[in-house]
Amino acid sequence: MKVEFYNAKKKKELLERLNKQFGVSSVPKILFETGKERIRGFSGDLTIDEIYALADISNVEFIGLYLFKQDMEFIRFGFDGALFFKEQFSKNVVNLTDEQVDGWMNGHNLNVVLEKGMYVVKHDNDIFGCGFSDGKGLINFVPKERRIRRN
Amino acid sequence: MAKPEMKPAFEVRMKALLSNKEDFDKYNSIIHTKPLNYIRCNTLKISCEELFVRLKKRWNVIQPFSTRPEIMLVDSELGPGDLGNAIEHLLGYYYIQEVCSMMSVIALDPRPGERVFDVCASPGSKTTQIASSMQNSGTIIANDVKLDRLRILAANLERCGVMNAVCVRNDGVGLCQRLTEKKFKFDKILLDAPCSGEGTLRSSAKTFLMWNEKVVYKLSREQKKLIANALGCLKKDGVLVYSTCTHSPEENEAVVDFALKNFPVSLEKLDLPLKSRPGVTSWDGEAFSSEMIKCARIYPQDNDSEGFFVAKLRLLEEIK
Repeated sequence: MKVEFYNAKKKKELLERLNKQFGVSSVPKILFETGKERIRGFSGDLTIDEIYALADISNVEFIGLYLFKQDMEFIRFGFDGALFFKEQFSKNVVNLTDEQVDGWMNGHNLNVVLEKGMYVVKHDNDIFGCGFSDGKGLINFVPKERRIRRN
Repeated sequence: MAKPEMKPAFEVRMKALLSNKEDFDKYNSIIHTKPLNYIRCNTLKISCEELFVRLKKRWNVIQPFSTRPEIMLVDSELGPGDLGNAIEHLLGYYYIQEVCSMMSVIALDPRPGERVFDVCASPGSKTTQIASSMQNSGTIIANDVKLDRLRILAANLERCGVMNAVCVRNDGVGLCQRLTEKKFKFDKILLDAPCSGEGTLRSSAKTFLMWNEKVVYKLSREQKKLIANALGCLKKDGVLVYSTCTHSPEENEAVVDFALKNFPVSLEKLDLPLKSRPGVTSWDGEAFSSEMIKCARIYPQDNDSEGFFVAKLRLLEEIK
């Protein structure tokens, strides 16, 4: 099990970035990095010590849910991780029209001109992960296995 | 292609379980038909009411059980992949799951804040159902022995937004022993044991061909080892639900009877939304405890479902 659990300081730094970027003001109690700057959250009641004790006697392969990835510039929510913060998003949100949903879920980029940055993509109450605006369009990050398959 | 038929030895066994000819004929007829399309609302992501309204615009959707609104039957003509390709499925709002396989978690009745151990968790239908009942609190330890199966489990947990699970890859017996040694104890354990799959003939016709009596005996021995070791991980008064998707008494009542005779456990009566029949109290010359009538045998012809077996055991004193 190769994970780096976030201490209070790292969580605070992350929360500041999340707040600035998306208006998010709270995160799960246990956060940890699993490599490639991917951050997962665990909402269970096991303590970090108990997780390590479990790892001593079993092959721990996955913990919790993939929430987001952070690089130097932007934080990008995972497709399912984004839903966890649904009620908190107040900045950088793109609302799809009915017609745009199908294209987005087919993996197509969106023809919208926005400032460069990462955006949460939603339609009514549904959250469709994140998209990145390069100033010309919104680049699609819907994972292949979650796109609509054409028969 | 000729429709697959029961192997003679399997037919003899099923006739012994379903001694009424009309009953057996109904069974033999329904196992050659496709199962109904059941889904389960993932309440971690959407309410049953909202999902029902959305799906109703597209299909004829029925909620057959008033006390279980999360269980929905899609009663429309569906093309291949229609259920899996719907936006609501891609968003993780529902899980495609046969209705009788939902019964083991209903029997387990996991609650928020509990610690639950899913010993043979892949592909994750029941683990996601447990997480939904626990509303992502408490902890689920979800185990499976093979990495490829565990990856499918992990993908399903992600899709359903499960955040309270730790997925581990171990041989079930060995893991139970180590958890017991380290005094990792659970409020509830689901042992949905690997089985011969006699109850899955409607969705998996290859089971007709693969079924083998020797495999039934081999699996029965493995299931007894699993239950014996899993009970060591239970807290006092904790509940273990033992389930299989098979009808063979060797893999069902014989395993539960073994647990009753060797460990401080009691069998509890089940309250399931499906019609079920009591467990058998004897089989092939072997007598089981009269308590076996508290087990639930689910036959395809009773509910237009697949076949299943569920038993609920309570630990009376902690196993050291």
